[in-house]
Amino acid sequence: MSTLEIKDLHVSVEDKEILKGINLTVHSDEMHALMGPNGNGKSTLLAAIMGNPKYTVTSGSIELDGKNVLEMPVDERSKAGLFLGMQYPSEVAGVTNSDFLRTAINARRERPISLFQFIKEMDRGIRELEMKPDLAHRFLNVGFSGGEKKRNEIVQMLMLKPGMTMLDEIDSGLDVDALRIVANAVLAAKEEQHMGVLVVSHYARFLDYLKPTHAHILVDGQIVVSGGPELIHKVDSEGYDWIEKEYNVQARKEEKKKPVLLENCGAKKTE
Amino acid sequence: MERTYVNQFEDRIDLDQDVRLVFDERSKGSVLLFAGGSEEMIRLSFEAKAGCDVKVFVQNAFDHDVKIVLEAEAKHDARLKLGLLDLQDAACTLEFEGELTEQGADIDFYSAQLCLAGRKKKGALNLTSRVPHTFGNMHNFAVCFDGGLYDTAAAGRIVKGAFASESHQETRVLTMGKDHQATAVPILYIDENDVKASHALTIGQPDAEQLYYLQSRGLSTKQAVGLLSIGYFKPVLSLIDDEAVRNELEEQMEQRVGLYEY
Repeated sequence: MSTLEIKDLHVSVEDKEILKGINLTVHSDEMHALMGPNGNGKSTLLAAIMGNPKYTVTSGSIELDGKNVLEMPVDERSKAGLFLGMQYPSEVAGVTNSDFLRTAINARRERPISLFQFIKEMDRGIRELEMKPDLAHRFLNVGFSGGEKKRNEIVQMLMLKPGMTMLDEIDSGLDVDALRIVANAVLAAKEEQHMGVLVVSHYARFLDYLKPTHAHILVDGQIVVSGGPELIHKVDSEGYDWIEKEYNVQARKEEKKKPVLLENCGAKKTE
Repeated sequence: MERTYVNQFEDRIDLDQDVRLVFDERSKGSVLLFAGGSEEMIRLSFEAKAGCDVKVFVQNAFDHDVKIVLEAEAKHDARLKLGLLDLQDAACTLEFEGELTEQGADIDFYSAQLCLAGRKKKGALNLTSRVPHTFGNMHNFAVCFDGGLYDTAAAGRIVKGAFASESHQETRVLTMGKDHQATAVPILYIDENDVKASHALTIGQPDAEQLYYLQSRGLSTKQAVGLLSIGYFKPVLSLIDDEAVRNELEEQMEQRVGLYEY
């Protein structure tokens, strides 16, 4: 049984505070949906839990089964049972999926996994996610379509068997069929491993497949409302405006990147 | 020592002296050479005769500082793939002279070197097109750990009259840790029009996002870096057809880069 407990978590990026006191507890066998307008801190929360060095935890605590996660380097967090299915998985040329996964599995075992067992498990993951059989021999995420990358994240989740899984918009880039395949694989793993799941998604259909037990809405770095699945449907039909009015919060607007003009870098303006 | 290979062949030689291998016309096969012993220099020469199709894999197995000289000549329509793997914790000076002497000759040269603290891997590599319609390609890979030293100049030449020839090269150096020095000089000497020539060079630290991604799956920094460096050594292993030997060398390579440090 696993419990992820986050208390009063504050997180900054480049001195800008993104999370302003998050409190959240996820137990085994629970499926938590985390929703909210873009740019309000959902991905930041997952990245901070996993230990992405870009994010600085300024105060608060994260514990997994009573152990202080913040003291652990990224690989120790993974070995402790945390898994983050990323929104934009990295491409790693020269490293095959099988070499990568075998090393990752062996990193959490005392004795290396036998080749037979590894192939059996990899084949199962590939079958379950309906991926091409040559996945094992392809370089990690190189030349993968958006959907293939996301499915590959779930193959990794199945093979690493985490106690607590976080999925960051894993549904983006998936077509309708792939959405169902991924949701079924996550549900099956949750049942089999009694995994706790924290999933970030904007897509009600994906969340319908996953059948969350809890839902939270994160606005401006804080969880402003928590509830059951009914919250997902309310957001799906009414959007987030009602939350701003009802809870007196103002969603942070996503900053649009300004185009870089030649005059910005190539010339000095003189009056 | 001299050997001539005919028809179809597959061979493995543990070497401690100079050797000259001749691949007869229209022969096809592969040779694995493990060069070791007490000498301070070894010279390996290869002659690929017309129409042959050959892969030669050389491993530096010297436990001490060594100079390895590789000489290769490819004749009419001969195809020679030649590669050196050097994972040794000792200095190595590598010289390569490749000659494309008849039309249709094709040499693909690979080097993959691990550079450890204070052990200089120095290379002077030359691949020359002497006649029209020849193809030269060099792929040089190196991984420098703390204090590693790498210094290689690779020159592709197309001489006057060798029109419609191609000379390409890529050099990739992965640097990790601190106090390493890596110098790679890609050179193209082109003395003819109507040719194709190119070079690509990258020297740099591993990408921070990639490292984080690998670590998020439970790999320590050393294992993550080791896995990334394996990608630099694998191309030369593709010259080995024998799966058992390839697996054995892959395991050796994985140990060298710290993949088994659980």
